[in-house]
Order: sequence, then structure tokens, then C-alpha cells
Amino acid sequence: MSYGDHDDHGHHGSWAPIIASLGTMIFLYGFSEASMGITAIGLVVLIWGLFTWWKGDLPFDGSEKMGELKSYGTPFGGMNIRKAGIWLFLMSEVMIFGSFFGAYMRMRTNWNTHWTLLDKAQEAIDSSLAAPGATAKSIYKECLSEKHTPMITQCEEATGGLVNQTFWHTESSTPVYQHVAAEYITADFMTLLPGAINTFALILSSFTVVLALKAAKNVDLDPKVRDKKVRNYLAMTLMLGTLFLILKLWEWNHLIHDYDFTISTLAGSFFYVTTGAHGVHVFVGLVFLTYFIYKAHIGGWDHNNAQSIEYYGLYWHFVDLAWVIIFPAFYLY
Amino acid sequence: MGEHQTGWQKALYEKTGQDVYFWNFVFLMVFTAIEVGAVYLSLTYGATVFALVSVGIVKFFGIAAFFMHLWDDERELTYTFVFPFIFVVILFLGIAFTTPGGVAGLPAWCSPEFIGSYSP
Repeated sequence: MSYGDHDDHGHHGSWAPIIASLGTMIFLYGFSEASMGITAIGLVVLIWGLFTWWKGDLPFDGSEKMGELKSYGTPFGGMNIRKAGIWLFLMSEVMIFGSFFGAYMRMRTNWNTHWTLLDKAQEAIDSSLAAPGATAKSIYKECLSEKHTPMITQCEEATGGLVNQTFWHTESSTPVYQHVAAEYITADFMTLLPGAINTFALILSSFTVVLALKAAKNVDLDPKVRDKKVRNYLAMTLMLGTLFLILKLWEWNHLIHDYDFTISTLAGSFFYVTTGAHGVHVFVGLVFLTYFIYKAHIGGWDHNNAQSIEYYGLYWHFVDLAWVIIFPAFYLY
Repeated sequence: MGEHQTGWQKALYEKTGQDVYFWNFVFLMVFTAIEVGAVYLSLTYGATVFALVSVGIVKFFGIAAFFMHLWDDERELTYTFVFPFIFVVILFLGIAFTTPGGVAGLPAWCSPEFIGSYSP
């Protein structure tokens, strides 16, 4: 590792990553034991480790004297080390969201859902088991009440016995049919609306980060105009991210209170843990963004250090990317 | 990001007055509208899944390639990003092969070795 042309750092040992790892361990232990005290201690140690790491190893301030750190060796030789680092971080993030998604798909393929019910309704029509003139949607409506409560006997009659008790639960009352979030969300446009607005908001916020970076890198702009543009674009990103979280909480509230879709069911657990983990990522992004806006407000960004916005943007775009998968899988499917 | 403009991106800017990031943003918005609309078109299960997966792939590509500028950056970064997807694909194959009907329930045209029965 070297500071561009200023390679005077022969030794590069640091305890900071070990301190941060220790903090993570204490934090997670406290979390699992539901101990606020241990969790708080872990968080403090984690932040201390990360801050020490940041101050000790990444003293980049945008000046020519203290240039961007470069990595050496394979495969990132010659690249800015922060850029390589953020991509490695994103690689680990793919694994996290991949495991959420994989677990959901594993369960989902074994559940009966609203899609299976529609398929069965169609099957009943095709095999003339349903009443003449019935459609898949009309049978579906006979099977589930407005509040999505299964009407088992009525459904069995409507499908000519094709959808019987075993479609809903096993003999030992274990649910086979799962009310997934998409069943409620796609049934009512007003329930889908927050998620749909959020999807547009995240895409727009990705674009405003790009605009902030372009403004920061633009050497032709008057510094005052540049600072104002960077601040405003970042502030727009902050507003859109905040809107995302507000709408998400509103939507959760709606699903819990109007449909009784809670974390106590398997489908609810997958939905809230995955969308909640994504929400935490948005929140963390907003915390960093607040500092970035403050820095823009005091005129701290220019073409020398604009790559910090670029690296932040990579994280923010990834949050958008994760939503591109989560939205259709959990909200529409 | 702006300094990464390649030939066709410059041409796009000269022709439309807007750069690739703007057009990427517009396309992402349009595809999201299609995505939401697909659910309300009363399509079959298969058609809906096909629409959602197709639109998802296009949107994923748009964000990763242009907003995250993997299109122009060092290939090593693309490999870094793609690497964990190998495990995700293995995971999905595992799910597909262990789902009841996931193999035996495939249509005949998906099974070149299909000779009428999967039983030994």
C-alpha cells in the first residue's frame, strides 16, 4: 500500500480491524442475549475500531500531499484502495442478501400461495369441476374473504373438491398455505402504492447521487455554484431516502394492522427480516449522507476528493440494486 | 463517473444532449412502470414471473453497468462483484433440484434425454 508517490510507509500494522471485529462479536452477542448493555458496549468498541482504522489507515484529505491510497498485488494492483475495498464490501453484501433471498425461495417453492390457489381454480375450470361460467378470479374470491381469511368449505365446493383441507394445512394443523405479503399488496393498489413509490424514489435518489458527483467533479463551475449544487443534490438524495423509510414504516403498519400480517408467521418473518435489513442499509446510508451534506455546505467537495462521493454512490446504488430484486420477489410475486 | 464516457456514450450525448446516466435513469423508471403494470394485467403465473424476471434483469444491468459504472471500470471489479453470484446460482440450482416436480415436472422439451419416464 502506498500514498501515490509518497511511499514512506514500510510498516502497515494496525490493531484497528481486530478491535472492530471484537466490537462486532460483543455487539452480536449482546443482541442474541437481548442485553442492551452488552450491545451498547459492542457498538462503542465497533465504532472506536472503525474510527481508529479510518483515521490511521485512510488519512486521505484530497490534498496533493496526502493523495489517494493505492493497493498493490493481485487482483487490485494500482487501483484506489478505497474503491477496491468498497467493492469487496459489496461482494459480502451480495452474500447476505443472496442468503435471505435463497432462504425465501427455498420456503416459497414448498408453500401453497395465492398463485397456487389461482392455478388450482384454473385447473378446476379446465377439468369442469367448477360451476359453469366461473372464472379463476371469481373462484379465488370465493376461497378468500375480503380480509383474506380462507373460506375452506366454500372453496372446496367452488373447486369441485380440488382445493380441500390439505391445501390449507396438514392433518397436524401445520400451515401449508402461506399468506405472503404479495397476496395483500397486489390485491389492493393503495397497499402497493408505498412500495411502488419507494421503487421510483430509490431510482431517482441513485440519479441525484450521480448528479452530485458530476457537479463535484466539474472544474468549470464557480466554486460557490458547485458547492450549492453538490449540497442540493445530496439533500435531495437524503429526502428521497427518508421518504423511502417513512413509506416503508407506513406500509408495515398497514400490513400489520389491516391484514394481521406479522413477523410471527413464516412468510411474515421472511418479509420483515429481508425488507428490514434493506431498510437498515438505507438508514446507514442516510447517516453517512448527513455528513456528506454538511461537508458540501462548508464547501468541502471539489474534483480532488469527489471520489468519496463516488464510493458512497456505489453503496447507495447497491441498496437500489438490492431493492430491484426485493420489490418483485416480495411485493409483486 | 463522467470521465468514463466511451465512444457510443459520447455519441449519445451529442445526439440527445443528455448523457448515459440520464437515459439510464429514464429507462429504469419506464421498466419499473412495466413491472408494476405486469401484475395488474391478469397474466398467467408463468407470464407474470417471466415479465418480473426479465424486467429485473434489465434493471439490474442498468444500475450495475452504468450507475455503478462497471461497464467502463476495470474488469477485476466486475469479477469481484460477480464472484458471489456463483454461490447464489448454486443455491438456486439446489433449490430447483430439490423442489417436488422441479425436475420430473419439467416439460418434455426441457429434457433432451427424456424417454417417456424418469423411473429407472
